[in-house]
Amino acid sequence: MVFDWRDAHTSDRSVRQSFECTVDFERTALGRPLFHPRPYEREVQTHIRRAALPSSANGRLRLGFAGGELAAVVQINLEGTRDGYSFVRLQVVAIARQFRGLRGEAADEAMHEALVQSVVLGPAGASEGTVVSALIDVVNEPSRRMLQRHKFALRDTIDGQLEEWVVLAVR
Amino acid sequence: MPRSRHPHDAPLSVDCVLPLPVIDWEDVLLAQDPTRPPTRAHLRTLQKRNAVSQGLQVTQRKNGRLAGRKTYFSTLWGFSARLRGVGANDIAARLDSAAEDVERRFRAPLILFLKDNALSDLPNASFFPDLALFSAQKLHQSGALESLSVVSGMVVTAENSRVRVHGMWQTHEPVDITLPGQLRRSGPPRVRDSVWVISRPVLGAAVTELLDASIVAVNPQAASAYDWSRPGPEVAPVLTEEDFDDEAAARYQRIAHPELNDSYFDELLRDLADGRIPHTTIHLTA
Repeated sequence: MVFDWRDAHTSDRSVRQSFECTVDFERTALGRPLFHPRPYEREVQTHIRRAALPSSANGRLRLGFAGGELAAVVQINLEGTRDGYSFVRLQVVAIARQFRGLRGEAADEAMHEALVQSVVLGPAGASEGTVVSALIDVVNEPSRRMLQRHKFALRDTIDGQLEEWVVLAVR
Repeated sequence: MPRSRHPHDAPLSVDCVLPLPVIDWEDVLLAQDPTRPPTRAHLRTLQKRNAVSQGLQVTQRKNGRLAGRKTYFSTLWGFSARLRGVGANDIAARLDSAAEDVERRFRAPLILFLKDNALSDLPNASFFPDLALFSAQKLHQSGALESLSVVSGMVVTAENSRVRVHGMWQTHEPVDITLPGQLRRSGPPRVRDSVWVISRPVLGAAVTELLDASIVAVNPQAASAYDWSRPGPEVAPVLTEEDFDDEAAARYQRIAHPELNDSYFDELLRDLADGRIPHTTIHLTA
């Protein structure tokens, strides 16, 4: 699976606003939302639909297309540099519903794109590598498996709700 | 002109989430000591000491043949055991007598029903609402709930051996908690199951239990004691899609854009130096 990746533009707003990476709410018989079965996925979807474009110096919002359809979204942010390392936070690695479940192929490609962009985003002075971190919900098993496949290690659990995973990406 | 209030304007019943009023003998023993595997010998010892009743002995049949013998108890015995564990002996004694009362009053229909049905099917019994409400009223009147931390709620996700419960403390505060699914002996609960989560201190640690519960339609007067234990959107922190998404976006903003400070980078650098952060090589293609 190969997506066509490019930076998001302001003209992509309508494409982003129709992006779906989660299931619908569980609803009452009258259609009123009762609860969302995967609230952490809904948070990402809402963020993708509403996020402002990042500044090119510190962030990237990348869109992956397949057959003209928005299939994946990646967002990263450069948080700082110290002692030859740059520190990048993965903010979004999201796969559209129709591209999920293919043994994680789409997720792996999106994660690879995120890591490549993280390394590229690091300033020239960051010669030692890029520390890439990601926060996921503790019940988000697909994301955990994706991070493990890309050699991330669990570093911390925050308030019993979020896990922080990290890896050092070097060229 | 406002019309006068007609008696029929009041709702005839209100839904409440109430704990399953009957449990099996192993649950009574586990409520007393969650660290000790339950045995029949231990049950007999407790019965000899009059610490628990003889319970309801049910000879079960399947396809007309004998299929085993089960012993069930009022769930109030479980609450009584938990209360003794936190030193509330007076309330526990009141519950003992209430438990005997429940078992005496509902003995015949319970034995008749459980002889051909599983305990998990009890909410389908015609007498279930009366039984559940009678038991819940006894629980409330005893003052037991003030001595325990209780959440009434609904399972909203059940994945990867974890369950997430949206609900409400008996103090009316909304709660969203994630628990291990193995807390329930009969297997992890399913999405939309009603549950009670009970926590109590034992030797400086917290013991948390997931109790089966059921939605019961009760009269509004009786329901007032359980106005914190109501099903549906009232207890879930989701009211509208827009509200949910506003909250989701705000939460994500906090997560995705943390204010990372020097001490955080110091910690990461220490972890790097200690070899706790693995490396991956990224090949940049044209």
